[in-house]
Amino acid sequence: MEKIVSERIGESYVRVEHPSGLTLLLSPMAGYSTAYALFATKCGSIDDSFALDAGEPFTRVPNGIAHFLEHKLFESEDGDAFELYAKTGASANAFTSFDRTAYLFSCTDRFADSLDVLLNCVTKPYFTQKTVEKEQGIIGQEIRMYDDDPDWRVYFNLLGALYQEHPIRIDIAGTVESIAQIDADTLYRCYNAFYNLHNMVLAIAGNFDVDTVIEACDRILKRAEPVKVRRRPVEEPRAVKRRRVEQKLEVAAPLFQIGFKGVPGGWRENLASQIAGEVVLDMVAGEASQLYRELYDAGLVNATFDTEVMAGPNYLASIFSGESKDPDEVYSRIIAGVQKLAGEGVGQEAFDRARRAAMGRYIGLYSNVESVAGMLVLCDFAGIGGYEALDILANLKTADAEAFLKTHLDPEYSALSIVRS
Amino acid sequence: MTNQLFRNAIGDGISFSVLRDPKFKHNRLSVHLIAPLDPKTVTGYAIVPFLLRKGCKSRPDFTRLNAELDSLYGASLTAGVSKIGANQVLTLSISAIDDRFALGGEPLVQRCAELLRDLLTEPLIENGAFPERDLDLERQYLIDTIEAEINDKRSYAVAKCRQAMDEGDPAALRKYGTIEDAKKITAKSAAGSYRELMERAAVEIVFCGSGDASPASAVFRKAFAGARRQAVKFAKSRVKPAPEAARETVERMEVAQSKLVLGFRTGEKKDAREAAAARLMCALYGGTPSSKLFMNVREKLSLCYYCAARFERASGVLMVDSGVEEKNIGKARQEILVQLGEIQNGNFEEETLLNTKLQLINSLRTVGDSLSALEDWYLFRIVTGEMYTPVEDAELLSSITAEEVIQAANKTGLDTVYLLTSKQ
Repeated sequence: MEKIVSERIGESYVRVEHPSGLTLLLSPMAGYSTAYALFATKCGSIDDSFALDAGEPFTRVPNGIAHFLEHKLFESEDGDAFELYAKTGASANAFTSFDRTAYLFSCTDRFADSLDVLLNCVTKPYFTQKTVEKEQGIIGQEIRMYDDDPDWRVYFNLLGALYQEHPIRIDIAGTVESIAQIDADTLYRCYNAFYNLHNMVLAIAGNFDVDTVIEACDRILKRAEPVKVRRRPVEEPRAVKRRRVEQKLEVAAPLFQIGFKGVPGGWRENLASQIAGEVVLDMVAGEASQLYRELYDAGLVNATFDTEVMAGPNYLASIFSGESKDPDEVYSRIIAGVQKLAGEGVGQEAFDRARRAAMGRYIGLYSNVESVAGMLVLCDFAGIGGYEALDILANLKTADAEAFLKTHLDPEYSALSIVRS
Repeated sequence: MTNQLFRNAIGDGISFSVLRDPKFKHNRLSVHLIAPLDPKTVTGYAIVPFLLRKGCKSRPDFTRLNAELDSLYGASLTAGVSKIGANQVLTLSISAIDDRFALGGEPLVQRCAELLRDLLTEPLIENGAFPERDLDLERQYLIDTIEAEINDKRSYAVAKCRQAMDEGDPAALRKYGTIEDAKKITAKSAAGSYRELMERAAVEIVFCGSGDASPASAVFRKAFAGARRQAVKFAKSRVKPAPEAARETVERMEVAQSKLVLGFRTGEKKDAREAAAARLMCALYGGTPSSKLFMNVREKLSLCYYCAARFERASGVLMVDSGVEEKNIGKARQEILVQLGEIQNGNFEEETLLNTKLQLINSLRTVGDSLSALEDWYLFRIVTGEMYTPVEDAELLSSITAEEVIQAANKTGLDTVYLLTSKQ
């Protein structure tokens, strides 16, 4: 058991390598009524091929299987996890993203009972052909709902424009056709590969006792032989697939997303780049920037304008998004803004201000039980300490910002996605 | 954990409320200008917070104002418009990390309060008008915002149904008003709206956070000392009975998934118990994953990807909304009504009711873990005039019986059915 402390924000968590193979990251937070638990596996939508043994060829699995598994794990032979949570009064959910799948609950009472439900439902899979078919119907409808969603489409169309090979460009839920290929057998094979406890983490923040968690894990979790899952390496060319993509959907103002494909390293490195990138994007087009002012005054953007850097195990991308009557003009001005900053160099004063603002935001990430648990999971998967992001930010130099600008924000490797009526 | 809000009058129709909880890392200070919803003023008022957010006499440049916020460790300044019952709420809010995290010991509470005070009391009004450029931009943005409601099909459908239910009632007015009225706003009329609000709106200033509120309280007491105003009272909501026969509306758009919305009325509530019973009934009907709608319409019959019920406290309206494939619309509609009938006839397990209570109590207890949830909670209590904590609400809900839930269901009648579906 290891205790990790952040003097900076007066928080701490305990890291336990449980005998079963599961890593526990536990952060009791005084004064909070809620306990928030996240049981996550390092398997997401981008894991479309895997191999278990050294010589084994990669098995390709249907797109959307991670998300499908997420839906199915709520079911057991005796019924539905939601019914069990209903008895304990916890609020439960799950999500699948590009690089992880997580099962969660939050509660203000009967924490131990809710934890039992979580540990049991995720570690005891139950799939039959009948339940698979029923889920294909429900997920089919979910896919169609997202097909209508302009925010979702403008984003995924951008990913499709930026990425030629990377599975990130494929919808997390897959397609109606790809999920039709899923059967109980495939689900079990994926489950056994990815839901091995050595590949998973249990992070809890808020109102709970560490001992309660360890007792439950001792009682419910079976020791697992470590399974070494190899994921196929993704060979993504530097170049983007296309520079511009536009889709027609019924929206009021046109939506746009402008993306820059970065050069990914390992997950840890990408996360550090993300932090530098957020400061850089703020300098380029944040609300205190000249560029934002020009765009706003020209009526080209409004308060929905935002910037984001997304980082994962093998991808890194920067995104400027919002609504605009002329997205093409916004795109060319953003490119000009990036080139201007690269040309003039990163000024110390603007950099310090942007870094302070980022500091405030990151302190915010450690201020509620949900995002604390989320950060603990992300940091563990990426291979950094739970509070290390704060240190990376505190030690960030203008040279780091320059490096990000040069390597990851090259207009040559950018694209524009638009959704308009 | 009971968070107590302490509210004091600091001027004519102006109150300053403080809620302190050391577990948070931030402080949040908001000024809410509250006026009854009125078709003549709703749109004109809606633009005001966005104009105030642009700057003030001491910070006339928008970019420099944002740079100042960055220096305050990324303090977040937001303008917003919301509704509480039949009242429109215009809000200017600033949120920042607490002084104890400031690397140089900067007095962030004080600085944020001074900034908020200046934005509120010294806007960039010259010769009775806001700057033309700002007005043009913010007016367009208001129009865009009203039009953008069309993007989220799910909430668009719910809003259209709601509108159909309350045609003519000020409480049914959309919070941003109408595009037609937005187009008529001028730099002078906006300045006039601002003056009206400052003279007549109820002003609720709320400080929630871990820090010491006294610097903020001092700033605002001084700012409003001696202010003479004709503040109005909060508007009360009207609760209407269900009509004889339900109305039907259909709208057609390019959609892959249809949206079916049913609006019900739950009738007049004699007391807090009846109000709580209606809320509990709604949760049992469609507010949790163990509810009638979720378990039957979604899980058992696979008719919808989502099918849920929501309750509006101020008006007693209950909305059921679902995302459904065209071929299932008729069956889904039928099953939604069948499930209400089940509750009306008492066909539900005592255990399911207990589980529903647990979930509601759980949500109520989480209010104390979020500054924005706490502020929303207490502002609602202030405006509706009934002060009680989330924990007290949980205790009341806990005591409601199955019989009271059945009575609440039997007082519920269908008012309007709205369907958004694809073009033929």
